[in-house]
Amino acid sequence: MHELSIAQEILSITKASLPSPDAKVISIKVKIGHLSGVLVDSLKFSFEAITAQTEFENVNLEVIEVPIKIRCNECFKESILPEPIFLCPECNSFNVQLLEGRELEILEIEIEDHKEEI
Amino acid sequence: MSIITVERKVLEKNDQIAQKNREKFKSKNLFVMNFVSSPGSGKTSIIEKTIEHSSGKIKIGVIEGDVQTSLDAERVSKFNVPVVQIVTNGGCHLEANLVRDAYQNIENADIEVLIIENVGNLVCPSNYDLGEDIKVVILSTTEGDDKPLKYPAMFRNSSVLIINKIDLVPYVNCNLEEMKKNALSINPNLKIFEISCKTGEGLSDWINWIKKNVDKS
Repeated sequence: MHELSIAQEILSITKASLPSPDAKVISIKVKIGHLSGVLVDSLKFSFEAITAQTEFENVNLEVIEVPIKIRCNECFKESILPEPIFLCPECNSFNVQLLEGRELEILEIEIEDHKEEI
Repeated sequence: MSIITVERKVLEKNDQIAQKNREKFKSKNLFVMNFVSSPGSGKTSIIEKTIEHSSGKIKIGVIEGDVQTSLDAERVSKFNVPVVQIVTNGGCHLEANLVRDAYQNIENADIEVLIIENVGNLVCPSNYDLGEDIKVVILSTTEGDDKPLKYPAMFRNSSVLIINKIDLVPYVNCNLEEMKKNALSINPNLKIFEISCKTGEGLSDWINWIKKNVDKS
């Protein structure tokens, strides 16, 4: 259950990124690679649990899942792998490099516009 | 609505501390290994045997990570090597700050290899850089030959695989060749050692390999 500590890090980076402490957050967009070892459902559950009854309750944690993408060092073709078996589907070489799939990043935060008082 | 662009790694705080650890270890000429595996695969036994069979040749220090108890540190301390216990109190992995704090206790010890024994878990520790030179993943024959396929991140992020308990192969449903093939399909660059802590088989190759890396660092 390291998703709980990851949810806590997401929240603390979010808080540190806000223009003002009272900014109202609507959603947080994160990128999670298939090889990051993070279970998306578990991350969402953890995020809900730690934000319940706080000013971050109901913030939408939007997850963009990134598949495993490799480049073959023999035939130089790029492929998406449905499973983490590091075999080039084009030429069957094991000599491949990982391009994408380990991501664990916060991309952006959406906040409500500050309403000017008239 | 407005959008704030963040583009930061979620674990950047951990990664920054890990990088500081790495610089510190480098300044002390330490070769640092992070031992990862499921519970019961033999991490502590391998540490004990490594110390026992290399005595006089390699100076080893140990950081023990466990969810509860200091039993492992007690086992290792019998060999008169510097050892520190980290108890995570439920935490399923070690983080770089825990290693930084633990290392302070043995900072002045005369060692050339530091072994960090992570919490027994094949999932979570793969995400957390501790500042080590390499991750060593340990898999025992009783766990079955399919484990590399089930826990790919750990095998992909490790440089060395130790297959332990090879003395049990005749009694368990494990095909060693299949296990190695599965591991190499996840990570073709894995250096593989096959050992038995019970009979001592394979230990000398493993210890010679450590010695070579110590001479390099």
